[in-house]
Amino acid sequence: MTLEPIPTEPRVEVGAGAVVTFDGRVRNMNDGREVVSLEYDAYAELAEKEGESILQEAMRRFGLMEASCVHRTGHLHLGEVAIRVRAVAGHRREAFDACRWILDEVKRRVPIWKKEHYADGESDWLIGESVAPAPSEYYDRQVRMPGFGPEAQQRLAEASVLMVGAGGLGCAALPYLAGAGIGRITVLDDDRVALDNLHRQILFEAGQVGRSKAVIAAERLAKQNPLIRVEAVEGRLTAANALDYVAGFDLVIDGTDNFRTKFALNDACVSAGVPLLVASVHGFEGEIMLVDPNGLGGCLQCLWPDPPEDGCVGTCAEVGILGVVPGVLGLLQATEAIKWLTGLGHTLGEGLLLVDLLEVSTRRLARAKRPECSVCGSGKSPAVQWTIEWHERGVRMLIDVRDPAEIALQPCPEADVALPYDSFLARLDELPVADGYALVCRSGTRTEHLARVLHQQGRTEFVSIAGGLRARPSGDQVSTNGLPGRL
Amino acid sequence: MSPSSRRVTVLWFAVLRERRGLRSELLETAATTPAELYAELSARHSLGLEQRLVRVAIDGAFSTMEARLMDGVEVAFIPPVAGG
Repeated sequence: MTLEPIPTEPRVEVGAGAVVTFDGRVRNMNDGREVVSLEYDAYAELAEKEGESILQEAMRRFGLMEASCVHRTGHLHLGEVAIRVRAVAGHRREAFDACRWILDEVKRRVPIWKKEHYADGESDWLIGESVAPAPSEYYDRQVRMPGFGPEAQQRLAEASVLMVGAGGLGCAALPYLAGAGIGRITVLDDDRVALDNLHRQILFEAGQVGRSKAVIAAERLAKQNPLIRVEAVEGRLTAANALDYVAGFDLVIDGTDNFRTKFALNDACVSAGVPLLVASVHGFEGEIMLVDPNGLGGCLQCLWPDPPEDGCVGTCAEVGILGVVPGVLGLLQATEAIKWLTGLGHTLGEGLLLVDLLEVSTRRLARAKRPECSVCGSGKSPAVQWTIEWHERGVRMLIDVRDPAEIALQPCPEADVALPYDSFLARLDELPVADGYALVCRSGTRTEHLARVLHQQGRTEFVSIAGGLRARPSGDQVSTNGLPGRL
Repeated sequence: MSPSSRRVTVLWFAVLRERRGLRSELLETAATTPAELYAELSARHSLGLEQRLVRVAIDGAFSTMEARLMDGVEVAFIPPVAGG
């Protein structure tokens, strides 16, 4: 204890309640051998660039006031500082977490090599933590399974999967998808870790309450398997943006907990031609099905032509859930995903699998496509209904739904207003009154989706211009009299 | 069994199972369609879930509420499930 003021660094903001500084020093032993000195070599240009981006990311991720990191190169003797990381934050947790995170990321991402000189006169370049493991060894146990082999492994390596929701289902499915070696995994979730998630969402720790689920899950998977690409997207899937999220993936896995999102996902996946693995849980029961856009089983809306409203049967928050139930269903999703992507065995096909864990029984019900389904069948009211050609737009107000950046690159002077796709449905009320609206985007995909969603809601005054600006007669493209008014 | 009635096995799932308090039951009914059967049972047991929110499977395959109910079939009533 002391009555004297503790010396402080002068340059810290008064709001900074926590300053954590970490020094990594050269120690005298490694792996049982006596070390006398170290040598660090770095690809300096790249190292500084990568280091800078790690610090920027740390500032954002942990809400830091300051972050810095210095790494030595050259020859270092025992006790010398090799790396110093400093994180300044309002509170201790962020400062400690950030310091640790920066250190780990630097070791993982920054191209710095270490050579140890030993007491016996030998020396060794060490394999850094950033060096990826050998795929042949990593996947050995599954590749040697009969019927699997390098071909199946290669199919997984080339596959991309979108996991929508890092909750009970996602936390169970994701580690196995990563472990199996799916080449690109994207985790989409806008939620943050809460204490009452932890009994079932096993990727998260008690100390991570309040942090982004997508980010933590992606970090875990990247560490688990450095051979794959993992991306976190902190966003919420809605009917308006679902198509953008799912397009381009080989498979989408539904780990959401509400009807609105499940049906938006179903709609978008059918539109984009991407297969979707849907699962839901209730108490000790769960169900799983595969929506194959080219299959005979139809889609989620074939089963429920009139999508149920949220709240009609209660959510996990209301009725409770045993952690292992979404766990089992998530594992089934991972299993079906691996089978689908490799072509092994029989997938769920046209079935809906009901799992009852209290009675340890399963029941598989046969589904059939409803020919008149409004999402995947003829009830998809022939696109004609909400699609027009460029020259047919008549007196309708022309709305450009592209992003401001796209518009800047290729203006559409004929447009009366711009209202971006992402916020279109939410901001519908802001549109000026008009005798109908014609929507245009680059290729017609986004507007087709918007028009369809709006028609389903009875808003038939909205139509999509088929083919978008690509289909615009070339004569129209030369005029560049300014950008449309932006809403 | 009267000539106009049939014997069916009813399976309950998820929230319907909780409200009915049973996983399955064998019963005799005059209902000729799943719709009539559901209406009858929903009223008797106060199931409180609108029929439009319930899907029916007969003998292991999804069917419609208007299908003809035959003697001896297994009728599964499946409510929507959203948890994740």
